Amino acid sequence: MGSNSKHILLKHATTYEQFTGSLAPPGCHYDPHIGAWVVSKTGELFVETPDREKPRTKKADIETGEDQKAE
Amino acid sequence: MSTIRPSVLILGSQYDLTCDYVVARLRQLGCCYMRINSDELSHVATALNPANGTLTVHRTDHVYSVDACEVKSILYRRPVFLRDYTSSVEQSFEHFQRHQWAAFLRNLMIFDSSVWVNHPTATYFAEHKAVQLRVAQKIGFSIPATLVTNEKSFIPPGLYRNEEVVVKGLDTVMLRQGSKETFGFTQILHRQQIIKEPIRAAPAIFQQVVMPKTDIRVTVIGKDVFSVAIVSNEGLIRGDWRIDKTNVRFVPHELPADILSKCIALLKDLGLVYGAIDLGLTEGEYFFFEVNPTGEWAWLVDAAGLPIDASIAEYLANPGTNHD
Repeated sequence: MGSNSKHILLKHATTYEQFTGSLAPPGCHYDPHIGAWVVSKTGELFVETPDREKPRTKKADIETGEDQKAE
Repeated sequence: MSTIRPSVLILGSQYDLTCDYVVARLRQLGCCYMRINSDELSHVATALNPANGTLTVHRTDHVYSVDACEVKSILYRRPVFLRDYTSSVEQSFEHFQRHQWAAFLRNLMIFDSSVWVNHPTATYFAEHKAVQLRVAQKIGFSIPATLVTNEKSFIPPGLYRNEEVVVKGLDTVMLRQGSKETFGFTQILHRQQIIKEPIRAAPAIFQQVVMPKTDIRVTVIGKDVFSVAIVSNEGLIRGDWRIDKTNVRFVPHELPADILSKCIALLKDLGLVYGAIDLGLTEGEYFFFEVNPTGEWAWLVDAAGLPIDASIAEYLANPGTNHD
């Protein structure tokens, strides 16, 4: 990154491997008419299933709003 | 093939599960909605007519006919402008495609009688940190002493507290190179680090440290306000609580009436319906840090039991009932 890498904001930033896995909830497919992820076996909305992996914190999830604007 | 005439639009992306929360609630309300994802648009047929104020979307088994006179509200969860995080040259076709569809979604602003959560122009304005701080101060919030600068000698000695100062980016600090991603959290740095490390190449925010503090996250939808204290399992949190995200709890927190009113007023002043406000509580005083017009909230639904999804869905379904 050249001389910009010495800038104070970049020097103290955190570098990590980009997430390259699938963002799809397991066992689900996206239903464009419903507009949500659906459990393929049962037809339930993924977000309404009680034992799903819940979003933990802002940075714990791959987000498309706040921190990942333009994705 | 059936034709659907939605009264609520959700503009998002396929993997944005936050939208799924809202969809679930809208379905419970029996609301006629349509979700449009930026990453699906090239797989459907669309037509936008500015003069007529209509949008038509043909999916496999359904035709959606959207009319400016019928769309009550729009949940906008897409960027208001595109950032380029990558340092490598993107495939030109994908770059072209992404930008054109992003513009397509922004052009849905032709639905100018609809209530937007949030309107892209309001989000664009409100995202600017110096602007937010100034508006917050005018509203009556306490704000930390702040300077945006790229010159060390301009940082007044009084900005340091116990020889330390908060340093953060004016814009999101995020870079991608190869397989790696770099993200800049808010830092608390010592004066000696400021002296030694270069800042001339780009501006940064230098802000007085507010410590000891309890971070308060306030989520506002119109006049609905949800507030949590972010509590570490290891005592008070220094700097950015997101750095140790696995070691915090989100505890519902009751704001004093005047702070609650200020939160509502702040969003109204910024032209926002929705906002995620970060406050710091220190020795009984609330400080405003920042507001995020596109801040995430889904994790609070489960982690803190806050019905933010219901509030947003209610607002979209009945936009006239939860604001001035």
